[in-house]
Amino acid sequence: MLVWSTLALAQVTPPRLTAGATTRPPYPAAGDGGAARVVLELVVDPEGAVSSAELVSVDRPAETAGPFVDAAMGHAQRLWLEPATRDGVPESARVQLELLFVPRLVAPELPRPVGPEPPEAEPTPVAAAGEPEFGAEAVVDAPEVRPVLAASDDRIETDRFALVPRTRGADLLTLAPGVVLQNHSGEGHAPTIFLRGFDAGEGQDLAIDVEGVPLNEPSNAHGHGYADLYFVIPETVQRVRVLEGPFDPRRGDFALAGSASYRLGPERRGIVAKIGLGSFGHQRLLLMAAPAQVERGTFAAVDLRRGDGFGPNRAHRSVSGLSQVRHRFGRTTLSVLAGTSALEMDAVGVVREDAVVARSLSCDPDRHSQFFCFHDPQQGGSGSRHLASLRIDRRLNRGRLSQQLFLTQRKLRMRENFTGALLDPRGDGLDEHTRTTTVGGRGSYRRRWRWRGRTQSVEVGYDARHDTGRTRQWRLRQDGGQPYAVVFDTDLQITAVGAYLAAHVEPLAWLWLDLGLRADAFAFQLVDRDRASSDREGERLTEEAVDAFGVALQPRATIGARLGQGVALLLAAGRGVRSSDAQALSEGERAPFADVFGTELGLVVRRERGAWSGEAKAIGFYTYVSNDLVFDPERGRNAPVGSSQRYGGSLVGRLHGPWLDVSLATTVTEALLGGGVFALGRDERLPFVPRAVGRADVAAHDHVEIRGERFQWGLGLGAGLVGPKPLPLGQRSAPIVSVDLSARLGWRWLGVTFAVENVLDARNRAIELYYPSDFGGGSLRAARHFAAAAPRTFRVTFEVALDTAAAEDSP
Amino acid sequence: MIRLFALLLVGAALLPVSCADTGGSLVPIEITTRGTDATEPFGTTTGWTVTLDEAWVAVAAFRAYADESLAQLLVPSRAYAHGGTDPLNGRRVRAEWFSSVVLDALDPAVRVLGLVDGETGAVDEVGVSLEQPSGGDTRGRVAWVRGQAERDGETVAFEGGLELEDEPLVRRVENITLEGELAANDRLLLTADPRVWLADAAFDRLPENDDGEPRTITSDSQVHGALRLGLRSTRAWRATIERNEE
Repeated sequence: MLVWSTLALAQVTPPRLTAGATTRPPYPAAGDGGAARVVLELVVDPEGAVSSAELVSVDRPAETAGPFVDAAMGHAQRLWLEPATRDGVPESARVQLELLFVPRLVAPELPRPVGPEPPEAEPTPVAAAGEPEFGAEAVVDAPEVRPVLAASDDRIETDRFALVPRTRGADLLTLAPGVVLQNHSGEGHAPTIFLRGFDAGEGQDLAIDVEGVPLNEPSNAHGHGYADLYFVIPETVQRVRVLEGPFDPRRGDFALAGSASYRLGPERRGIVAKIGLGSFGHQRLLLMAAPAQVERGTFAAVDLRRGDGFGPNRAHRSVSGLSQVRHRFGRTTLSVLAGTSALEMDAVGVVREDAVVARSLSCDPDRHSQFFCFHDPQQGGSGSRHLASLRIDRRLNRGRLSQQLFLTQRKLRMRENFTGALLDPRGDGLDEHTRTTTVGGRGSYRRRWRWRGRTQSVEVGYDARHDTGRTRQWRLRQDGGQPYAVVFDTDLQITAVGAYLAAHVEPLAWLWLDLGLRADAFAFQLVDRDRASSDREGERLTEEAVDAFGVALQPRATIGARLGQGVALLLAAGRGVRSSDAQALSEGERAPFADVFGTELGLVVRRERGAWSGEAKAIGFYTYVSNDLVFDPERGRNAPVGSSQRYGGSLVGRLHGPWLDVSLATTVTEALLGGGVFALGRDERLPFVPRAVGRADVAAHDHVEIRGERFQWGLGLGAGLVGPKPLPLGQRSAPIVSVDLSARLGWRWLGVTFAVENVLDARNRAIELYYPSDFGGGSLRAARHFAAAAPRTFRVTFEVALDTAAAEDSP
Repeated sequence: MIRLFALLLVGAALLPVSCADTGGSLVPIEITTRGTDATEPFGTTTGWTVTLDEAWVAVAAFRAYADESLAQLLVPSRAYAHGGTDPLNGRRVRAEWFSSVVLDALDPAVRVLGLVDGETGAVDEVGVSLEQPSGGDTRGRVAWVRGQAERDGETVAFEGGLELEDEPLVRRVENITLEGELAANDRLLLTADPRVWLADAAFDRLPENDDGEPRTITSDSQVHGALRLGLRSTRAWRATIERNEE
């Protein structure tokens, strides 16, 4: 029986003994033959190991207590437990454990809790207790800084800021410091991700997975590494882990700027139905079932959306279904994930600023209409995704074994036109098609052991995927939109296999090391279907096979030092790679990689007072990329530009309390073209990357009682600032300021949320570019182009939530 | 510890202090034109002495092209960063006047057309795009001339315009030499020289008008052909960069 009290917030679970762990210490050989009661205070680390044990009391005089204390300490040091969790995240915890030594031939007692009113111990055999609990009073040891891979290793519980308007699953990435999303091509187009000086495109530099299923699509026609999170229903996301750098040996391809992992498990349990209405014809229906009496990861949800868009040619429709069953069979956890989604959208792309100023676009001549107008109405896209995943996690006494298999079927079509008819008088429109099927798996085995009284671990793992499909890009006529030329057309067979070794070592109480080595191999078997029909030698086939292969080794390391209670300094460094775009390969080539070297130094301070906890971080970082990609409007996708470097700093502050959550973050970055590792001093900046970004999220919630009725209220504020971005030829983009507000009122099983996005109705530009185009003007000089961001938008969401926990508990 | 933390905070905030910028920069360039003082008679290769009363030409755009050395050409250009490329000749455009303007080729006064954003750097050539407006001083032609030509006591009064097919390559004048570097507030001056336009004209081959009016330069006449060649000759145009010392 465990008596649990905590200073921490809600949703905290205490440590539990694993089923195989005994709570009966062997009677010490040096014992005097009598019974003894020893109380220890244990610190259980997030891995479930006992990192320290201290004597609290023993009911023996000092001269006879020694053997019992030694035996109790030794026994405690060998214990492995289910760690305590806070909001599902393993945390270090302090527990008191009472051990009873009884002479042989006397029935043992279960350990009893040490509390104000400890229950009587029952002489029940431990084996009969199934998964035993133990008597103790435990306190989550929150202020301690956990051994993480970097100061920027953020695991963000999304429900804390659920009140801050975020309409799509991808928007949750902005909970991580320094992440900026901008969508230049309509609802359904993956947003461009900016992170620490990276213009990560639609995913080329950020490895993204959902429950371990990788989303980055190699050689996508729209952009290498395209990662679409539209199928992720935000209400189903439990946690997003963002690591801003190539420091995790478990992450391979595309993890240049970092990695993001979505863990699913709705915080809101029960049956939830939401109906949303809003500006510009916004309509949404969400149905979600997440029974309270099963694992949090179990749910099923369907999300239907449509809207006319905040201007002409922006209509969109989408449906997404996600379902997961997570169940524990003793020490084994089985997770089955299935998802399907489809979307269709119109898009306006970019417009020339001079055309907007001259009011020459084909919309009404007023400024508002011109700002949200378009050049080419044939832009838009459609896509679908179907995925399934099976994952088995087995908790061992001294380790953990995981295996996952996944299957993804994906189609994406995008139609864009950035340059009008600059490159060809027939039109420069692009029609991009990608169709791929991905099968893959990942697995790992982690072994833990005790050394010098602290938990050490080593993990080996792999991830593998095989992508097969076709990627092609056509040029479209400006009139009618018919394709008239093939830009590329390639059959893909891409195999990527990675293996890693990761060791966590704590040689000293204040020092830990994470050392990793990762190897990635990429094999490309391509068929180029757009070769010329003749060459100097005569006629030839228009198809040609291209094979390439490459291997990359990537060391990664973190040094962490606890400088005091709740204070840690972390230094992380690592090498990462991005695979090559199939369009850049030639026959027999050693598949080239984009290499990245990243390092960061961060100070983390955590404090806790009562029910309030706070965290502050100061981080400096540096990154070198050997072959970077930058958006090229003429190709409609990212193109190689050679090496690049970034350096900068982040400041992060977070405050969590019973009714208030605050997150403040700002990141300042310099991104430069050229040079080698640490060869700063180059004088050319990388375009399109914002130099300074800041974000504030505030969520407050509580309840009031009126005439005996309990009403829940909540307020959310999200504010973002994206500083001017450098554009080619020394130009600057306009800054972006966004302020979003929401208010929620709940009563019993009903709720209504009113949200206003872009409260200031700022005429923000989702993207600004500077390049030549010809949309009928004829000028050959570069001009400023932009895609309008959404104006002030109102949304109201009505919610019905049936608490199945209450229903299932009632007779 | 608090001090160390504060120090790191300040350090992180001050880290990015680079003054770097993206490649290239845009500067204001003053675009000007003028004609040539051709009020005095001038000779032609065909032996005529010509006096012009009118000489107009319609310009759609003119552009200063970058001086790109062989080494620069070997370096792959970054498509995202270039300020503009002429698809017809592959040359980088450093400065462009892109607005219809009819030049009085006989007016030597400098005419300021306006300011444009030009890209700093070396230039070596100017290209002129001609257009054919629907009316105006060129009477709906690309160019219009009126004057008298005299040879061996024979005087021919003439007038007429140049018509060009609506083809970008036909309506262009290329390879007009321009040497220098474009810098902030420079003045790019384009000078039209109508004396070259009729350098090869055989005015005696113009059909006579019965009423004694000036002979008309018809589109099938030799003079029209000569005008077509002359106006599109690089000698008919000059381009210079004048540094604005103010």
